[in-house]
Amino acid sequence: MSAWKSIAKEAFTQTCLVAKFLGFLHLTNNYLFSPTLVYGPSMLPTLNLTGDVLLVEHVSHRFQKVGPGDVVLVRSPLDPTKMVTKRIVGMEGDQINFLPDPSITDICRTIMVPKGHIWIQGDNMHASCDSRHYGPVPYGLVHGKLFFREFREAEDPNKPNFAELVHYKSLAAIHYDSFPTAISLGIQWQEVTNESNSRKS
Amino acid sequence: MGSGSLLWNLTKKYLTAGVIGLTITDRFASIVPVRGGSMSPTFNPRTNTALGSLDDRVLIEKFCLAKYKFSHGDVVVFRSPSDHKQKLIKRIIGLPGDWIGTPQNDVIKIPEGHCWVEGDNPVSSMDSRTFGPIPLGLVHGRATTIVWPPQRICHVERRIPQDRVSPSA
Repeated sequence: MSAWKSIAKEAFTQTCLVAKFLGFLHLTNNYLFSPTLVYGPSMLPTLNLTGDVLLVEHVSHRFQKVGPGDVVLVRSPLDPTKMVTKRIVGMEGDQINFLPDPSITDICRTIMVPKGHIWIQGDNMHASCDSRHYGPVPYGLVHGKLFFREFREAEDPNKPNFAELVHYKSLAAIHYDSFPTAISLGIQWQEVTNESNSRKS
Repeated sequence: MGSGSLLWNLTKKYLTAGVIGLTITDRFASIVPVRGGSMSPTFNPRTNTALGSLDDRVLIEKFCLAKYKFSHGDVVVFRSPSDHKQKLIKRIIGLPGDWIGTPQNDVIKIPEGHCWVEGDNPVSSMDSRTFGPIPLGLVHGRATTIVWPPQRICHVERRIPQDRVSPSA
């Protein structure tokens, strides 16, 4: 009898532990930050075509702290099971000038973003399905804001892979060459400078 | 020291319970009060009684969010498209591909990934007749049962209004 009791107690403790773990996992994943894998051509100069790993934070959109220029994770209005990453171009009340289809015409259209909506666009305007096709999206579809990206350099395999903190505030800071590069190059960078110094001397 | 550790233990217990509760409400089911008369007679059939209105409490299940599969007549909770802090509860009238008549006397096709929601009480309801079709991504769960007050415990029926929708061929 007591054996059964101890087994039941043990099972209960273990279940509690698992529930606690899952609970905290859910909390971090949905309320703090979560890793996301994105792919596709629509954000091309900013994010790679194949599989970028990003960290998405879920805090600022709850306090309306996202604004124009932020890259956000949005539940697609066309297919609710999918998430898309796009850049916010305008908030509610903004006037937006946009090209409906840059490959055909240059005619610019102007629209005002209605209350409670945002205007999102991909950075690659030629291969992106965004607000230019389905119009402004409700703010309630925003699920998070990108704040960190695993940085991979595909061109040069000799260079070290390193993670780099990226502030997606301005478009100018997005090209690979103009990234601030002193964060985690560490030893390799040191070696190179030493070499050049010795050559000089 | 002893009282401090006791307090710490208590805080830890409450925190853990809160986290597990949050997980359950977010993933599986939650109970929400329904305010206002926009869904009467399904919810809150008598809004202005002498004792003040007694709000219905409704059980919301979230398993439908795994695939976003809904059918006509489901009662769903969603974020208002014009104000993301507000949550509304309405009945799905039209799903993607349906043709539906709007109050402006024209017929529109519901776009892909959207749905048409309306309250059961057409007189006092803010719904798709004012803001148009809403994206399915705004939906946060499906109402299944009224759980409170006790005399009103019942299953929420799936009701399909006639002559409103003509489904796509």
